[in-house]
Amino acid sequence: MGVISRGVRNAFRNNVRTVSIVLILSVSIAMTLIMFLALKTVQSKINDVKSSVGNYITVSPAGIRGFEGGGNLLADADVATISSVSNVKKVVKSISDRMNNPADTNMVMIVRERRREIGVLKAIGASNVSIVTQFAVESLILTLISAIAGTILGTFLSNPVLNVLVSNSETSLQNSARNAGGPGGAFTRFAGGVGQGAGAALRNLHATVGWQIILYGLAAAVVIAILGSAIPAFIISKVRPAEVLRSE
Amino acid sequence: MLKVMNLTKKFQSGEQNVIAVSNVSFVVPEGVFATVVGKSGSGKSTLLSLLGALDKPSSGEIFVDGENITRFGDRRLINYRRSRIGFVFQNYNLIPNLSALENVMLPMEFSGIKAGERSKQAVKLLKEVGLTKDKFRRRPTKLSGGEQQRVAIARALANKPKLILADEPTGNLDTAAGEIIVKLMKELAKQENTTIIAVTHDSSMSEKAGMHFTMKDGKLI
Repeated sequence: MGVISRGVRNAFRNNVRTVSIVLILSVSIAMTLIMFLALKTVQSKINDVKSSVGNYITVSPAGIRGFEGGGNLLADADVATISSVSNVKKVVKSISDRMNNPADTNMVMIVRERRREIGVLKAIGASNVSIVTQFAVESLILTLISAIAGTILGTFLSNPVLNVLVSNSETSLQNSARNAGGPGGAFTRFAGGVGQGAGAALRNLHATVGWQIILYGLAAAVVIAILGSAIPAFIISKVRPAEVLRSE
Repeated sequence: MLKVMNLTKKFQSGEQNVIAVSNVSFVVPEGVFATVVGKSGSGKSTLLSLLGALDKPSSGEIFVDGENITRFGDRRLINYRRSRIGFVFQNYNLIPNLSALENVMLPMEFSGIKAGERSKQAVKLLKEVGLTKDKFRRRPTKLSGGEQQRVAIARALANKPKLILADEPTGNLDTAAGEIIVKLMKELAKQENTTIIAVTHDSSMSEKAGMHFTMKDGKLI
């Protein structure tokens, strides 16, 4: 049995451990994919809306005079929706920033839990290269399985999650505007009833997963797997085996 | 032959400078089963780590068959551990997801021996240490402590080393199983002309050895 086949077998050495790692990683990857798609979809909608509505509203003491830039004037619902869409962008970015961590953490854990094994392998004559290769293969297998599962999960869940994000954000902003009252409230009431088309377009978001996104996602997962396991394995393989055995 | 000259190992433990092995010198001829006895913290395991090139000494020299291993670079140290040394640990330290046979084959894989030859040699060694054939494919967790230690001894012998280092080889075994392991190691030292150095608390094991050393506070007494 060679280093590679040992790495593959190690990926499945314990069913509970394998399922847990795959579950955590695939949910992380799915969430990252969903957030990435949401961000992309929302950005593209914002651009669409910006190009279809007026850019500046001019108000005179005598009342509304008009607006510049062409298109339809925003209704109060539209104002809430477009604000919510920007809000969704912030939420999406903050979630996706946190999604890369579990992938790295998992790989570090795999290596750390097996410090003794690394020490034993070195004591019986394994080279640093063979130890690092074995761990990189193991994490690659786990990450690839998780990436496939995560991509399937993300593809199915991207639209429902996106809609939930938009509608939750929209509701909370409308509530805030209602509570605030004052000039803003007057403005939104005044503008109501006009330009329903733009608002409807914003609420009707649809995320699509292209092959390019899937391939980029898989490539990113592979890079994370290799870096995430090879770096700690390499660091540990530099430690003298006596130290590793003593620390257990 | 193993020759140790003025071997010292110091550690930094917090603010304190601890001398784990202090100016130790001894010679063990080829094919001898030797024991090192001493209380916990006397420096026996550190000495074993130094002999097995698992750690570097602060000063002093270790000659194995005339070669000074303390001057070896990393690559030569890997080769030394791979081909000249066999380790037997108190906790057996078998790789848990490999069968008994695969565990014995592992050091041979690192030495570049072909798969067919590895398997043949591993079967021979497992038979020699007295493991029954039905247990060859079992994982370590499905073997008793005594059986695991037999597998560990077979693994230590896999690359036909000139020196076997055993750290409390009977420490986790009952008396009967421990005696069998000691007998086995003595026989192997004789048959294969292999030098065995075992660190132990067990005075009865020490009585059966061809040579024995006692350590106290990092020194041989």
